Amino acid sequence: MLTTSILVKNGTWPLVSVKSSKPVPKQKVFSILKIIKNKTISAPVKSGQIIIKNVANSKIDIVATKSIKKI
Amino acid sequence: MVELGRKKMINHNVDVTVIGAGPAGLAAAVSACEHGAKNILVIDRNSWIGGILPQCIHDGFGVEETGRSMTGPEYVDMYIERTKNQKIHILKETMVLKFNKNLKITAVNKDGLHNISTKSIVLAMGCREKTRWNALIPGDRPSGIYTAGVAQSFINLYNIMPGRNVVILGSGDVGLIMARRLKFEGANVLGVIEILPYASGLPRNIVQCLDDYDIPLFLNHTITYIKGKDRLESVTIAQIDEKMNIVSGSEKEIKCDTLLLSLGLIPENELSKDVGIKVDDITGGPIVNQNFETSLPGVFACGNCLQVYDIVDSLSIDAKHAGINAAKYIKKKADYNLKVVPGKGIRYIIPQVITKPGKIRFTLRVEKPKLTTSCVHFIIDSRQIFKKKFPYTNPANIIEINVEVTQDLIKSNKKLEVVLSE
Repeated sequence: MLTTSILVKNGTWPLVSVKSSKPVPKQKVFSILKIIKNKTISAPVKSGQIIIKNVANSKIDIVATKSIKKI
Repeated sequence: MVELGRKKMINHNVDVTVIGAGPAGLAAAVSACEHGAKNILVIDRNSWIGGILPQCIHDGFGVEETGRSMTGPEYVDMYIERTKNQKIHILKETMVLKFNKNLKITAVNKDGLHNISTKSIVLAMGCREKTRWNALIPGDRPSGIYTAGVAQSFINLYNIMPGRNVVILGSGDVGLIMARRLKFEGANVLGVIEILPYASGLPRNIVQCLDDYDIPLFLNHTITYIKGKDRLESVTIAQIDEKMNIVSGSEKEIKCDTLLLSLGLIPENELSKDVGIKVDDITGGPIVNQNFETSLPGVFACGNCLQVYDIVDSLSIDAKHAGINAAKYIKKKADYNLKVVPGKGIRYIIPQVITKPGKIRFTLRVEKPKLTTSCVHFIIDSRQIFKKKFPYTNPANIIEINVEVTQDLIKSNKKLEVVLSE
């Protein structure tokens, strides 16, 4: 799985950790990371929540792996 | 509660206290609960639960334990879920200052001083990273030098990028995972330097973190100089021969602004050492028996403060055993514990505690020599269960007596008093 983090607004932590729902082909890793990097989400976030659906038309979802409470 | 200035003295009375709420502490607490401990207190100095795992956002956790590959935060959530609806109380932002041989713990937090009486303790304090000073790397002292785990917390928890052009010293797993993580965040990872002829991290991490992203691994190399006025400017690396000497002429300066150190981990056992628990020189953790019990009865050890584990799955398996035994220790204390006390005329008697029924061989000494016939009486609740006559008695001679002790006597929760009469 591809794992990284996404910026969180108004959360108890500034980031939420995320993973890809399926393995990401090697040649797509950095283009998908770029999309994830430009995304910001507002708290609260629940672990398991889909944050980006079908990222870059890859049929892969980006899913939160942590719950972040709202301040 | 006793007022202490503006802060309070807070007393607790619990069955099991777990020191550390990382994966080991949580696994031990859950197991202790499932095996009959009624009142469990988990103490952690951080503001969160899970220790290091919330910052380990990569996956690969729990494969052996559950058959499912989880990220660090998901693995912790699985255990936090298990602590819910259980008699487990977690005290965060609380620092254990010490505990003594009678299992009295002193801890402190914003509310005041906590005095904890506990029937058993599980040590799960984890470990610390080795620093530049463990490796004695010569050179300047600029900013930009971090341990790999600190850099990991900066990037994954606090959204702070430690630098742009990074060299990593040591090929431990955290270092390898950070090499990939930094690459994902747009940094240039200039290389991983390893003094040994082989990498010290897991082979899968060499492939998935370095090879897949063309990050060079310099085996048989080390850093011989750190240069930088305010911020790190460069490190000098050099080749090492079989005798661990620097190969002259092999030095190469690498311009960089950040150096991460992945030099290994040291179990944290200040609390254990303070109370006199025996620590193994090799593991750096307490010496334990088959029940993970340390040299101090009732104190059990697990997790990375016992030994530095490769993967969390095997750590959790051991931690669960430690938790089970901590709970059994309570049960033993509560249900099957007949105290044997020396009464009039007796100096001491061994064993002092009986936990299992059967024919018990007691050894004892009397207080004073006596040339006349005496009788040793075994008395519970003013009822005599056994007596034996001796023509004379002398403290110099151990007296041996075999007495049948039944389960009912042990469960009676009374004291067995042994006295001498004329």
